[in-house]
Amino acid sequence: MQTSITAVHRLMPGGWGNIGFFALVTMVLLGFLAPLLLDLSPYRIGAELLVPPSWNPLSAPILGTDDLGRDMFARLVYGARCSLGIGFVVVAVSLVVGVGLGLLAGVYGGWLDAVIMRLVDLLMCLPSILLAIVIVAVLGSGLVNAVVAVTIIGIPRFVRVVRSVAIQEMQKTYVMAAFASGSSRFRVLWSEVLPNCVPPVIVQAALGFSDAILEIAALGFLGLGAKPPVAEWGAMLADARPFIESHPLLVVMPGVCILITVLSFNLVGDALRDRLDPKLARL
Amino acid sequence: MLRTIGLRRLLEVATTLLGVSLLAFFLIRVAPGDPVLLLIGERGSDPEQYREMAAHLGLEQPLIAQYLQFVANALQGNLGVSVVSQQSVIEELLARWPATIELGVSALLIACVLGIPAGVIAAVYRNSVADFLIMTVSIFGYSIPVFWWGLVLILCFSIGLDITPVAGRIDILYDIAPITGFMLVDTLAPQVVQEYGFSAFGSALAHLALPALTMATIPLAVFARTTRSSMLEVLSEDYVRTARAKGLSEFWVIWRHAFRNALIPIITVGGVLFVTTVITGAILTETIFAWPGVGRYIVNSVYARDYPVIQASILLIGIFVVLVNGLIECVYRAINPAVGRDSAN
Repeated sequence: MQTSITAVHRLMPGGWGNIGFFALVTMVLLGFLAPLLLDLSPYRIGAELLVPPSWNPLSAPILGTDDLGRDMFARLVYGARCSLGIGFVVVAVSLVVGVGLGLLAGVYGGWLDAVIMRLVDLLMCLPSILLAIVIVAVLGSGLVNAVVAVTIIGIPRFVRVVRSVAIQEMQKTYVMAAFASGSSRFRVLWSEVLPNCVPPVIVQAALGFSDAILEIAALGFLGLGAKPPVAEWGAMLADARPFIESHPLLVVMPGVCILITVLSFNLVGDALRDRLDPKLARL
Repeated sequence: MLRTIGLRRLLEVATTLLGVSLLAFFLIRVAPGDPVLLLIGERGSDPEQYREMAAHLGLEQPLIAQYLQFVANALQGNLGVSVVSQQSVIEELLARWPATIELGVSALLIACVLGIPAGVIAAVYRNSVADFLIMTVSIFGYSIPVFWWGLVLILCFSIGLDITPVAGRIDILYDIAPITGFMLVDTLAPQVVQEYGFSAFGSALAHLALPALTMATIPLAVFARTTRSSMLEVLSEDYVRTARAKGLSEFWVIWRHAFRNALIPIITVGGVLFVTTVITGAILTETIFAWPGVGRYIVNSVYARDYPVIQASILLIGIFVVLVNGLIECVYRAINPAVGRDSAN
């Protein structure tokens, strides 16, 4: 029992991060379990339009219905699924690509480093949302292309942090010892440098999650990401805009969901940074 | 040593600029569809216009020649013609630039004026209720979706309290001839004041308030956080203790001794924020408030598939960002010569 408590404690981000962590766990459970347990459909069009929320868990619709009579609670729950799912895909892909490129740049150096870093500079010199819009403009609008765009934008943060760790590690004596004992460069990369990149990469992943969710929602809001009828928070906000005067809650609710999710990831990310990466915490 | 680093940075900046131009160049060639049709628009394209544009692009020439032609045109300020308006793209963008700058600078001013003192207070009264409140507000501000926040502000101030207008830069009652393009300046021109009094200026200010506040939120949070951590670091230094030991008043110690030294990271963050706020904030904020600036223009161009405009925007914004970043680095180096050595790799 004691050990399991310690294990849980070690997994928790600590401090305010714990609140964010619990909020995220709740969000994941709601997003993935609620549709299984309850009879929810984000697309079913009801007869009663723009019903105000009942705020009563026992009488549907808890959060009212939208302009097509769809249940807002169901749409928000499916929105959580959408945002968290997409966030996961974006972070996973950009993490793998970014860490790979960062290791190559940091460990091999030379022209490979120069080429990779110039590409990273190029991606970073254009503001992320502009870059996303441009990529979507080239590929065509839609949720899949928006995900591709946000994934590409997410890569540089991992490249930079991994590269700087790799450069530091490469100068340490244990790496020299590994070389001296006949390890190949790839072996050093894999078994000496990569493990040292894990803590800062975890921090960046948490922060990357919040950026990805914000960007996907922004693209959805601009009509360049998720298209109706997909239950995506940003697109829901855009759909609800015409009703801002008569039914302000339709606009407020999806935004609150985005805010809570992003805030939670930021809290977790900050707490992890303080714990895992004291050097970065000062900046 | 310093010179080689400077040269190396210059080379890096040059390659980044090259990359931006390549990105802009390849944009229309990667996009699905005929690049000629993308540039002149599918509607109303007569064969003669098509041939003209095809010849202008030099599509039959090798790619490298096409690229050099593109750069040569760009250097002469020729970035093509908008498909939608048939006007020169560069003129269209320059006409909207002042609106974006006006909004961005106002937002950044609000963020500085509120965010920096808040950060100082949080650091000086560390772990107090004030610190807790300021940091809570700051992490909320940092996480807020800008496009939603703008709508919430409209809900509160325009719909609820009815004190601010919802869209545009000025009331349609006023006919203001653009002189500088900055509405706050133009409404103070003598002939405008003579005709409308100061009501035109008031209207411009009221229109600016909500978008500027929306855009200020994220930078405000970042300023507060940066100022706090920078101040915390400085306040633990020996010279601050010495200043206190000398018997200087606390106010003097904080603002004169600590704050001045805490400023360097704040200035850097401010510079970076200037870039991201003006452009990123502009795209979303301008769309919500129908603010006639560059950001909204770019979004509308994407809707209309107006590729010459998108192409030119990437090029100009990329150059703008690279130059501003270079400038920040120069200022930073001038303030703190130790920087050059650390950031060399």
